[in-house]
Amino acid sequence: MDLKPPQDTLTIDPIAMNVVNRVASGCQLNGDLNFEGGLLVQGELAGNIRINGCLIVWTGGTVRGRVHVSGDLYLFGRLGDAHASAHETSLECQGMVCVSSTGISTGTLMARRLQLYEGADLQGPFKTLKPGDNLPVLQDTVPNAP
Amino acid sequence: MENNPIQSHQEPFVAEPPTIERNTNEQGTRATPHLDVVVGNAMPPTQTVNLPVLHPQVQPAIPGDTTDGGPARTMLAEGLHFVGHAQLSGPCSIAGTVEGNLSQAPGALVSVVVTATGRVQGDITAQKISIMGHTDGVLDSGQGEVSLHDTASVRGLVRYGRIQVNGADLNATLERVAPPSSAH
Repeated sequence: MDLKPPQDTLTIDPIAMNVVNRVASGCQLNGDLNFEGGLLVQGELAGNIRINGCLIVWTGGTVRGRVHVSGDLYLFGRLGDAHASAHETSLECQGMVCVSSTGISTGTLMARRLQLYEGADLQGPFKTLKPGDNLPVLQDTVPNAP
Repeated sequence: MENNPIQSHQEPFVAEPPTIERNTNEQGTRATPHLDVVVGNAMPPTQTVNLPVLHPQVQPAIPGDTTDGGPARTMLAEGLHFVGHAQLSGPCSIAGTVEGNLSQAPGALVSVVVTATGRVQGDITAQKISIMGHTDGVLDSGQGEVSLHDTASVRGLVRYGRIQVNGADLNATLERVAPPSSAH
């Protein structure tokens, strides 16, 4: 009898997780973006992004740029381009990063906690954020002040 | 977030791709629909039955531990401080402190376990690497496996073919070594 090992499942309840934003498949968003509440990415998202909530990158979804997530990150899709260097995409997560078996990350990840499932493809630096760390760590581009 | 949405299920699930099932609660306690998504294989518990003991004869061999089942497990006990490089031809467990490199002998495929009390300052090269303690250096499993448990603290570089991380304190660069056949 061929028994597959038990696998964890993630229950996504958009109400409980306050996922009120969605970038649908086929949609591309680029620029300085600020999301109030959780975000589900099924398309492509790039730029300087702040998410005041959790971020779910769905299978087929891609996120690039400098990202700050105040909640948890669930990565089923891709963070960063396929052969991009680690500094082109960096993500700071104040919660837990969960990279599923289909998730791929080529960017720089900083998070309080990392849950990486077997088969996940994580390349590049990862840093565990400590409670005492000064925040933020991201080198946000600041326009020249007058 | 107070409640962790990730749950371990006992029944087997389809491996990939993440299946989306729209569930509605039939009991009426939760009116909103939600999705159940498979995230992958759960991390084995920290205290596995294969943890090294000082009586190797009563412990079944771990698959992949040795090339031909010959060498017994090498154990560096807690409280022992070892300085130097070691070449391994069999499985090895580190419960003490190592300053130096641990590498597998040419042609050998070994597993290295750093227990919760173990501390390695140096590089570890082995087919299977399991960390529950502290390491500072390169963890190189080639196309093998690396497991970082929740008590682990890892700094440096991690080269892996397959990896599992369960909340380890990680300050490292990860590098996946793809198998030659995969065009990833």
